[in-house]
Amino acid sequence: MIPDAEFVRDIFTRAALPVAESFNTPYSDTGQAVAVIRLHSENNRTSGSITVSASLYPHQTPVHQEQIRLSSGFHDYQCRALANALSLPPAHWNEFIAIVHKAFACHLANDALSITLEPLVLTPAHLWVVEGGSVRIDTNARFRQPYGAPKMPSAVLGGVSFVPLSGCITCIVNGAGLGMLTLDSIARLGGTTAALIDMGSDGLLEKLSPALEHAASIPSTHAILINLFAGFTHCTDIAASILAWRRERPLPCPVIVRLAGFDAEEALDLIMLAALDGLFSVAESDQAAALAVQLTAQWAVG
Amino acid sequence: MSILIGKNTRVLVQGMTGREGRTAAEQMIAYGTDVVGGVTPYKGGEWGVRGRPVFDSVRSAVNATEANASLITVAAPQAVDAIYEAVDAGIGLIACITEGIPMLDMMRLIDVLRTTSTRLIGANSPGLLAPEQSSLGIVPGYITRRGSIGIVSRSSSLMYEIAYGLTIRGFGQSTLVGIGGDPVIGTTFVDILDLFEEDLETEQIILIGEIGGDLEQQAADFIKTRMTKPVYGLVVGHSAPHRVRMGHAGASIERAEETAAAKVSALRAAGVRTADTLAELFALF
Repeated sequence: MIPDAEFVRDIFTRAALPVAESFNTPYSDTGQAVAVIRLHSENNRTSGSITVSASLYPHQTPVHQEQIRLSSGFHDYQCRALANALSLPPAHWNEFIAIVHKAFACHLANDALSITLEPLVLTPAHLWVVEGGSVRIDTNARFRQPYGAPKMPSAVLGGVSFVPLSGCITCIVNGAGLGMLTLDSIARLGGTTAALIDMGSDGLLEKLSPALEHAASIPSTHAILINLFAGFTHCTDIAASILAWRRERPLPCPVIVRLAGFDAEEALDLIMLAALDGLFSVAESDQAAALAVQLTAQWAVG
Repeated sequence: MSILIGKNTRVLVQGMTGREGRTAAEQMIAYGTDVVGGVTPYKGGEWGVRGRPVFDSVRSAVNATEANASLITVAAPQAVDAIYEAVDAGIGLIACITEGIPMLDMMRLIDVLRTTSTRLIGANSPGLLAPEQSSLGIVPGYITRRGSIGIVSRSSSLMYEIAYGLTIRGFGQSTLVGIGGDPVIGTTFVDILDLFEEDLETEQIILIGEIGGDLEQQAADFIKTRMTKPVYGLVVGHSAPHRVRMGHAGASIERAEETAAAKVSALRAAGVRTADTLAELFALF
């Protein structure tokens, strides 16, 4: 998630980063639970990023990287190692160390996932210049940060996660893993997904109707695939909610329902016996994906 | 046998008086787990779910109940503090179901945990369950039956699907462990595989992975060099676009190594039999 320019300016202003100098990169190897400052070099320029989630430079091998244990902090000797790796003239090491420390402090103070200064340049006039940069913010930390919610490509609204995609089947699921499995099945069968709506593990009955409304409102939706595993909620209650929603409004497109878990068989029977136009019930996840792909293909032909 | 939990597990629920904590406690007690009490600051002295005592602090709860495991159900802003409190009170096993803990907090916490003997499962985890023995979390008991298949998963929903699918096909499980969907977690695939390898009841293992991070590659290295038991794998997110968070905080492809294809490739090279669908996975048994 990249916040807008005004937000980035605010972050850098608050941290009082010098507008000049070389570069640096906070980044983090989350598997090791350590922050990593990485230095990259390209065309005699140096650039880098501070990240807590992933490298922003998947195709570049870092010139040098330093791991930082958050419990013990970031030390000058690590900055010197970075400066040395850049072959910086020793006369500029102290300036460089100050910049790296400020960037890392900015990173911590703002709950950033990454801060990238790209590139950080030491000019012939011995000025440090940051030509560009970006900040990725950990939205989980918004509760203790003064800034408002930045724009996000995927939003979590009312406990429902929404991931917009570019295809034509909108999937409603209750779990990210189940959602990805459903998308994979659709793709494997030649279909495409318009959006993934994840209701999470609790409050399914409260979230279902808004999720269906949202799915139906997406213009590119040619079919809605509901794929749920009900751990504690009765599937018959879920089926009743779907039927009630369906009876209150005309369907904009076919709806395929696959339920597993508590009372699933009875629930699918309820939907089948209701015999409502455009509403289908299927027992297996793969079958549900296949039916959704088939129905969207018919939609395209029709 | 099972791993990590069993009949001797005595569970505290931190946040028992909240909605999540109450629900989790009800489920665990109904499953037969020895839930010995709850912890909610400022509510010590009250009675919680099904007459379990509520304490102001983990230390006082441990002193009174000899609890040896804790389930963290408190909200994200307070969750890390609750975990530190459990660690300081000497709790050996903690499962955290809380979602949305800031990444830097988790990194600091994991760094501290390295210096202790406490094991943290999660955060953003459904916890773990040993069928017909004990539960520490919110894994539904009825979807499981006791047996010899160990399951370890980043996804709770897929773990439920697969456990239920195995159960109705007559295959039981030794222990189910949801390690959590966050990028920074307390216990990895390798940690659990190591325990399954040593567990006498576990004969086969199912590993359920997803895009993001490199935990599956670490698991592949471990399987190749250290494991003698057969491992089966399912990795989801093959169709996920790059740089889009697919629900879980950790499910995002930022590097080539984080794709589902790269993970499947690593697992296959380590001798893991992988499946692309649930039907394919069940057909392997």
